[in-house]
Amino acid sequence: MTDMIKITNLVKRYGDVIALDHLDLEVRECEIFGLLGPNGSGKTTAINCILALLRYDRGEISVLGKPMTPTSYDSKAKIGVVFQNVAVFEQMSVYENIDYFCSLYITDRAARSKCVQEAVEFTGLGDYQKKRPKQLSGGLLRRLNIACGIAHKPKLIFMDEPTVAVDPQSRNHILEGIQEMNRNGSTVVYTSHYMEEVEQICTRVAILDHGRCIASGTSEELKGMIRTGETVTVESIVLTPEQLESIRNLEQVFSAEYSEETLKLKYGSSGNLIALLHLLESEKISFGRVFSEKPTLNDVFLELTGTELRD
Amino acid sequence: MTVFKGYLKIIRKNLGVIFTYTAIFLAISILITELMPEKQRESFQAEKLNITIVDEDSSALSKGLTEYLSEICNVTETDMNKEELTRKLYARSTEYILRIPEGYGENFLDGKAVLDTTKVPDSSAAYLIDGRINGFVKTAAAYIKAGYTQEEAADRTRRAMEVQPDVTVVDTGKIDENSRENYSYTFTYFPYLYVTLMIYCISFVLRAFSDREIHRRMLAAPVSATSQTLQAVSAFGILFLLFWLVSLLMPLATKNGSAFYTAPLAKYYILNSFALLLVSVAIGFLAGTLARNAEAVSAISNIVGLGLSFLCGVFVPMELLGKGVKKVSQFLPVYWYETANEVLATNTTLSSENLHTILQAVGIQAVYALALVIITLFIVKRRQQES
Repeated sequence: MTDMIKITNLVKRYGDVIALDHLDLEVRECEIFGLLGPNGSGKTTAINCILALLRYDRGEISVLGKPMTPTSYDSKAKIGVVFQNVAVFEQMSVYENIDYFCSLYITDRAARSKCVQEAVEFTGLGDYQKKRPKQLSGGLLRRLNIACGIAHKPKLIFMDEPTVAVDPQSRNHILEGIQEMNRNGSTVVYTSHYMEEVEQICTRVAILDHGRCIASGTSEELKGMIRTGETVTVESIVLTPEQLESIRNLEQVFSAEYSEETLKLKYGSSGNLIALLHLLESEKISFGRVFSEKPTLNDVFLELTGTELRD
Repeated sequence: MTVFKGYLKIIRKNLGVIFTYTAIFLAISILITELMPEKQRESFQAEKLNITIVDEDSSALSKGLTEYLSEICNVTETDMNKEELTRKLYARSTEYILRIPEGYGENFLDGKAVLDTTKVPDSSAAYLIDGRINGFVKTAAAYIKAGYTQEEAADRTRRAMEVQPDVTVVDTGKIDENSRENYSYTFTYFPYLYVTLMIYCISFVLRAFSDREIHRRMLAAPVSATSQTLQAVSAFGILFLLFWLVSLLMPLATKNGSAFYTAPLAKYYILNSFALLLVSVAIGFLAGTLARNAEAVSAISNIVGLGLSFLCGVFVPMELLGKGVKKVSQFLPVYWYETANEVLATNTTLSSENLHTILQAVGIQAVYALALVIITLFIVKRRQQES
């Protein structure tokens, strides 16, 4: 697959603060590429640099096989952007807004009209075409923001946290829409600090922290990079220090945390639940609910950085 | 021309406000000009005074005097006695009674016989007749002394008195306040309309397009920044031009307003209003750059629009403004607009001094506009650097 975006050794400073610290990234054609990281990790700065909206201090960026500059209008014509904050005209109706932003890319009126109508249907805004943005709910406003960014059917779409402050129904609608666009041949760069979303829709993910890419790959590849294979949680359990030590000594357990009558065990590979239950029975320890979880991207982030993703 | 159309679209959303302001402005203009007193009449008809002559002399001289007075007054010859004449004077059926005593012609030069006059007390018209009679008597005396007979002297005097001086009225071009054309008031109030509307419209459109997120989205689009700027300037240019042209049609709404379009000074009114448009646009751009929200736009447009209008003689005539206020207002562009407008409103033709005043005022307004644009660009540049 060819690279839609290639970033090499990108450095961006704001005074003394390093926003992007020798960032390297590659986004391939027809993938949904997730940029995951906490607030302030450099996701939006990276997108602004890629789109040539920001000057950077060092590094190279190529988009659609060409170096990206503020005057790369050929490349810009094939790019769609959905920014984190809604960027629409309050004075125009839903339809007029989509039509206006689409007209920046498609000048032919008939072709544009078709694209705008498709974007309206795609985002489910059919009943709101004549409404002003002020009359829309937060979720509908986000959908309008997306419609304005994708109406011209771009090959490469940047979506910077499009689901922030969106109700679950609208969020699902947006995520399904992104997957559909991808199925229709668009490459999507999707930034979020919601790991569930990224896991749900992204084919590959890069985890950013303090302007650096600390890991990248598919979700499974990322999870494979960490020690945690499975996490087992036992609720309503009362343990003595000796009993806790016995549990820690079970095979594959590399971490056992106990607090507020809840035991959390981390196994290196898949957990041996039977061995744990045998031990609890032999020690005559009563317990409540027991459940096991596969590692998440949050676990990946936690292990790689030592902090929670949402910190 | 996508960006251009976008600007026009946003401008179109402002039309309601533009029409409302314009309608209010026109209503006020018309109301004020309707309340103005009727213009003074430029022509007059001379009135003839009723006088009564009792000619007891019937000499050539007395007849000559009676004939002369008949030409300038409504003369009634009578032989009424003094009591009847006094009653007539009391009833104001005559305003002047001239009695030419017997032997007046005979004793004309030695002054033994004098004319007897009775007139309405303090009547200015009577004084005028006195003057005319004196003139006739002195001229006739001069002829008789020169050797002419009484008939010849009376005849020559009458002809001499008929000669009217050839008066040529030199048109200074100056007209008084009451004679101002109604449309001149419309132009006087223009600064309020121009400044208020330009601040409102430009701020409204600028705020929409200078929104940070929209600006970013526009920069990400395949349209160069230069092209976007040029398209924006074109859209604004059309707005300004249309607004200006419409404002120049406003005199039509006033009584005899169509006279403006054939008035010799119309071109200077138009030039002055164009200079005001430039200033208003520059103020609008500065306000649009500074205003953070719709409330601020509204506040700025009212404060600046009304403030400039009150300080610079839009609503209150300049001559009524205090010296201190005048000194301050000289530093404001609208003062210069009103100065030029005042010259145009109170003259029918322009002396070179007046023309200089107008051109100077227009030039000063243009300089103000340029200075405001430079300040606005400086603020924009600084903000861009900060962000």
